[in-house]
Amino acid sequence: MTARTYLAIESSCDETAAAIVRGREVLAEAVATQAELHERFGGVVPEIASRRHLELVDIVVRDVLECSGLERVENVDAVAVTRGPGLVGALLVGIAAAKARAWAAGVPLVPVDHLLGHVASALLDPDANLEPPFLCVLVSGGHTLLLDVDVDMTLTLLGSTRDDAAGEAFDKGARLLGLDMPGGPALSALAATADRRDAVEFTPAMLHHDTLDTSFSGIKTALSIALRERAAIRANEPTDAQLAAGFEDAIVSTIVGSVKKLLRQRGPTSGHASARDRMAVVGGVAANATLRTRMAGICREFGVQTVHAPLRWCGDNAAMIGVAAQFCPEHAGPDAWQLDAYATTPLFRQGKLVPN
Amino acid sequence: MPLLCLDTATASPVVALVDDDGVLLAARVVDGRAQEVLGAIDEVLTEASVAKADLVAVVVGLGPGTFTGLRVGVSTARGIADTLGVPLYGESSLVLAGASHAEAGGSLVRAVIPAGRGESFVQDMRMGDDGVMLVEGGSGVVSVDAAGAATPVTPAGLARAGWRAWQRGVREGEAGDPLATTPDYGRAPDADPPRMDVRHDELSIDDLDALLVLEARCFATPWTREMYAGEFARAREDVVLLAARDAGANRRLVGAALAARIGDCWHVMNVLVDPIARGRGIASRLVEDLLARTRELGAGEGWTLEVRDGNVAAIALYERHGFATVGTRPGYYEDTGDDALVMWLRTESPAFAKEPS
Repeated sequence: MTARTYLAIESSCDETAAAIVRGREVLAEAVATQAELHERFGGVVPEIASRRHLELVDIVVRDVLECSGLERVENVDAVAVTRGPGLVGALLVGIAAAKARAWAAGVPLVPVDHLLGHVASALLDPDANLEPPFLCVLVSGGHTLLLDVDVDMTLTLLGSTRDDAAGEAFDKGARLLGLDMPGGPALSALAATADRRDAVEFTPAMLHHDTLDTSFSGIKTALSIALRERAAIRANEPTDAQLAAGFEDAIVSTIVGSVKKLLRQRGPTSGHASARDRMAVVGGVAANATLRTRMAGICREFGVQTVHAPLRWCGDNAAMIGVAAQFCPEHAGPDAWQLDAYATTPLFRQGKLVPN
Repeated sequence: MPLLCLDTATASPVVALVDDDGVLLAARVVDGRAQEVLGAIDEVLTEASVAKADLVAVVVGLGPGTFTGLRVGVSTARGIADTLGVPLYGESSLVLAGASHAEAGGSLVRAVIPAGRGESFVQDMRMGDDGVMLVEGGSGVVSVDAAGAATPVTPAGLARAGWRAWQRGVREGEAGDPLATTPDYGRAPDADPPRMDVRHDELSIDDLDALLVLEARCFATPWTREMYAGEFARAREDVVLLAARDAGANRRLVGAALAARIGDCWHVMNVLVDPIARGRGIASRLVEDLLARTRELGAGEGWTLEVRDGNVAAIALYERHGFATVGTRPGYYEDTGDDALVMWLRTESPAFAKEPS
């Protein structure tokens, strides 16, 4: 059976993206980032983001239709679109465009959860040939989730952050250090200039031993106290780089710590087909080099293979939505044309996300 | 060859299918959000037994109106037109609303679209004998009370004005590129930092036309040319006329204030700031300058003014500058019958003594 071809649209936050995906192959892709537009506000401004999405969405769609050689929406099998979670006003621009194009071309619509999209980005690693089931760490600006991914891509929540998301913590730390947005990459670049042995030690939050949840807000507070103390005594040490290195280490240790706890709970992998012997690392923070190295190390200890989302598909993009769509039902007819956005993933309240 | 028209500028989006003679084939008023507009489009095509491939063009209301609604409407219209390969034409939602409540050759109508935050977008217009809507005066954002009742877009009005927008587009050879069709939000996003650099100087008789446009943007019952002409005609030492201008190349008038000496005191006659330039302290600076200039000319007993009861922002502004309410004039404003508060700042008052020189 030939894999179906999807036109995918993503507009949940500050990237306007479209892609043409067939199976695990990305035929064409366009991502227009708004990062610069929001930089002067120190964060994404929903109304400005939504206006920009409208300016860009049809441009990226036309671009991928042309670049893939498909030219017309009639030539894809379905239109996939991010339904949420995200900024509702921003999501609605992409959803309206996707619905209108699917309707006009007479092809089905596939609403896709953004989190499922991130999980599916690991399937785009050309060497790993990853297919569900597997375990997954999703670390981004909005989420820090430890997930079990079943064979049909049903996600079961094993642990999540109790306060800030990992990416959010990076951004806040970067702001404390006076770095430019986006803060994560800037903070990591600064940390890389320090001798790791001189990194300031910030203690990762210790949560109760039977939870796989994480917490990052204490690390941020520790950094802010360290900066205040340094200012009070007018010292030059520790340097910003030493503070950044310690801050990054503490966040990475928190994530790796919860993964280690999970792997220890599960015991050694038994080797049969249903075993979760692979761990996917996905989301914007999955691009962090320190995290990639340490995740690979800890998983090796437990005989688990790590699969990192390819760097270009760590951040928000539409290719991952096109891959995830292949696990989601297609909709045509009145229910598709009434599709609405959601700000948070509703099914996670019961700890599960079923592709639907 | 039917034409698809939609408008999502208000809480009740409207869809109309019109044939090429302007006859309404089918329509829906969506009782809900703009997200449901595609469902309504699907329904009207089914009801009229029209195939998507038969659509000749799409017309969309461009606003002003609800931000999210406009985006959903324009994104939907663009997606349909671009995918079907037909032209997309835009029309002001105020024109669509006006056409819904006007008659050919009839009297002046005011299109009113809710703008949120207790305000409305308004535009006066009339329908010519040929059915074309003729805009009269400037459009503006005014308080809900001053604007009057909202004028919803009706299927008949959408069909009529939408069909004319299509005819106009075809006649004038407009390309109708779907991607070139963008909404008119009518307002900057809240977070947009003020980029306007404002200069303050004096009004001259050359500003009269710009002043009348500014009046129309600010007030439901604007001052007339004659009223302003009367103020400009006063003796130089008895009137202060101030301007606030955009520092850009066109020096657009964004605010004005005037005070006239009547007897032994100054009457603050009018203070106005363009709705798009509000919240930047322009009005406050105008009042401050008015007080300073009139003091140079001799303040006499002080300053007095009337302000519409309920104009909370203006009352707070005057209070910040030391004015106190001393009484009311019932039914002072003839347009609505609103009372006026009479405010005074007396030269012997402590507030005046505190005024910086």
